[in-house]
Amino acid sequence: MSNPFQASTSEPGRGTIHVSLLLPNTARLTKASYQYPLKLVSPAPTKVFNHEDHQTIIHTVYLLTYGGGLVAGDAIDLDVILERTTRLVLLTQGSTKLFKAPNRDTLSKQRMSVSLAPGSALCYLPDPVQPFENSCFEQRQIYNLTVPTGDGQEWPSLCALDWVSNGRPANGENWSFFRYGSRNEVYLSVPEGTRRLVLRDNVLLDQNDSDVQLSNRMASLSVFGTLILRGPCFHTLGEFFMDEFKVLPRIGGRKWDSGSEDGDQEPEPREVRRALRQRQESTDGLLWSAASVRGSVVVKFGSPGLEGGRRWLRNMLVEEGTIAREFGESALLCLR
Amino acid sequence: MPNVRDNLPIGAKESRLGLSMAYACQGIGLSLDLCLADFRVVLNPVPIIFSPHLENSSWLLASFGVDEDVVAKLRVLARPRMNGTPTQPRTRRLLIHGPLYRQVIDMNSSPIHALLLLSDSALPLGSFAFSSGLESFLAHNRHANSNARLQAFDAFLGQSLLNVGSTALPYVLDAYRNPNGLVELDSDFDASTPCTVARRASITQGRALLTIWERSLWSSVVDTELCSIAGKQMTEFAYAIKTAKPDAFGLQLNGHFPPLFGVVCLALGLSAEDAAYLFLLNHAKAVLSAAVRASVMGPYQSQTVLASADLRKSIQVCIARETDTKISDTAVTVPAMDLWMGRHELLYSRIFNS
Repeated sequence: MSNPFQASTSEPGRGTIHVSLLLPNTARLTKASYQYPLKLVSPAPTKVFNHEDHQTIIHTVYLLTYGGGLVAGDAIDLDVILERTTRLVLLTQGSTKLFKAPNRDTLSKQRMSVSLAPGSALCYLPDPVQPFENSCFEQRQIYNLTVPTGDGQEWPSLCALDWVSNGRPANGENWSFFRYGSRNEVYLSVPEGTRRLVLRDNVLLDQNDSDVQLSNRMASLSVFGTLILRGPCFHTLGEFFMDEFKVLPRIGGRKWDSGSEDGDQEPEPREVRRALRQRQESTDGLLWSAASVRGSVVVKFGSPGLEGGRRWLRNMLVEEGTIAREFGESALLCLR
Repeated sequence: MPNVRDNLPIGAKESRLGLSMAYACQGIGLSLDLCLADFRVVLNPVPIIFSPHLENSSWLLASFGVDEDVVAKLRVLARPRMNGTPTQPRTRRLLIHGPLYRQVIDMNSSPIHALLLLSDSALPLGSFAFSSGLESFLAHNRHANSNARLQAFDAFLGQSLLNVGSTALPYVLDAYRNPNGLVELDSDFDASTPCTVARRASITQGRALLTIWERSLWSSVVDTELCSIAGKQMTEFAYAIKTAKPDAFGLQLNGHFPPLFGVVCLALGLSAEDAAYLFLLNHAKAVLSAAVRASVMGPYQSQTVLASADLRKSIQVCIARETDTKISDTAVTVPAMDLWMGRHELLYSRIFNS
């Protein structure tokens, strides 16, 4: 008989999200538990109708923290489990603020471990992290993708954004934290238990690393981010980023074609949108690059203004359309 | 030839002797042609410039077997003169008669030969075809005049060293410490470099190093157990990269430069500290050489930077910070570098490969 007065096993900051596949082929959010200071809010699942009227259930969970951020010493530890063919959208409500630490040794931490079964998909497009002056923070996102083994199984899909801003520029902050580290790791694992690292994206900004101020090291950027795309669900989106990167205007080249148009042909809508977007990019001073690495597409971007970065990302994702089509418009909420 | 090991000065370790000779010569202003001689007889007397600026020159002299009271006399002689310009220490040219200079130094057991080979710009690695993002950095940041450009370059060089130190140096050292893990390190570095241009630069140089290994360096493996393990690993890797098929996850060998460099340094008998220093110095040399060709500065100016105490210090700081960094903790410390590097492909005209 179990003891009714068992010691509590809850730890502060712990959380679990489990999306299961139940009969009849229905995805359910079977678990969304959390402990202070973490809070999870899950609105009712939505349905999207994609190709051939096939309906997919999309679960959405908001990752919140009391106070809108982490105070010094907070530790968040979240496990996310996606069973086969389930889909999850993770969002935040406003930027994750990192409040100041009394000293360099008081580190706040956030760890998220996501395991994705074959055919499942995660869309994680949060607001940027906003480290305040003298904050000290490290986060780690681990994505374990299970390799499909049987016939008819698809690879898991992942779309994960990780971005950070320079703090509160209105208060004179400009990368003025003690330490900020963010690490994204993507592993492929086979059911027998071996796993292989396919991507590690680790950024570490520490005031102590050099005599030069962090703001100098960040050039004139006030937001910097990485978008990781992988799997069949985001294949076309990844291709889109790669294609658009290839046709970016050459740097240092003359724009011979920007003069008078021939007028013979109407430019295609895609080209019109591209021209508009590229003009916006150069007004916002946005820099981005895309690379295809070991089956993932990694997009890095930086911008002298937070809004410029947000605008660019939204434009790209809306223009291509995969996210809205496969996960619903609300997956893009944090980019509004 | 007499057996040199019997005559070595006290405190100088056998394997380090050639190197400490080189440092000592540098430190006390001796110019000795150290290259390519298997045996070298250091003749007596040798002119030595002794300056109080060089704090460890007395230590070095002591390790050469120069008596303590001779060192003390030298100190007095080199002390600033009170009637002259008081802050300017004198540099004295002296003739030293010490027991060491009759000794014969065995160049076979010293790593200086390998060190000089690996630091040589004639080593056909192709490193000088890469600017490590400098070209793209200059294209992205237009500078008003050459002075502003020079200043920006200065900052760039420091950041570039910082970033290479935090992303690649731990792989050099880890491979040096455990040459058997070469294949995993290669895969790990591949996963941790999500930038097309940086990957290309690393793979091109790594494969060039493999070719040099197969054609030339394999024959110079130092005859100790650890070094020959490293040599064997290099030879096996060079073979495997040509024959291996993708593994169960569809991944294959790439031949990234940093881990291979670490193993080569071990095989040729360099110390871990020298391997790390060499790796960063070679990087600085490549960036500076690119700066000369991108007309940021002239060749003399570039040598000035290369010879400066600042550069030496920043390399040492980098090494000190990254010596104990685990490869799983390697991180990009200058995110803008990734952007510049990644956007190198977008330049209208390019003279470098990265």
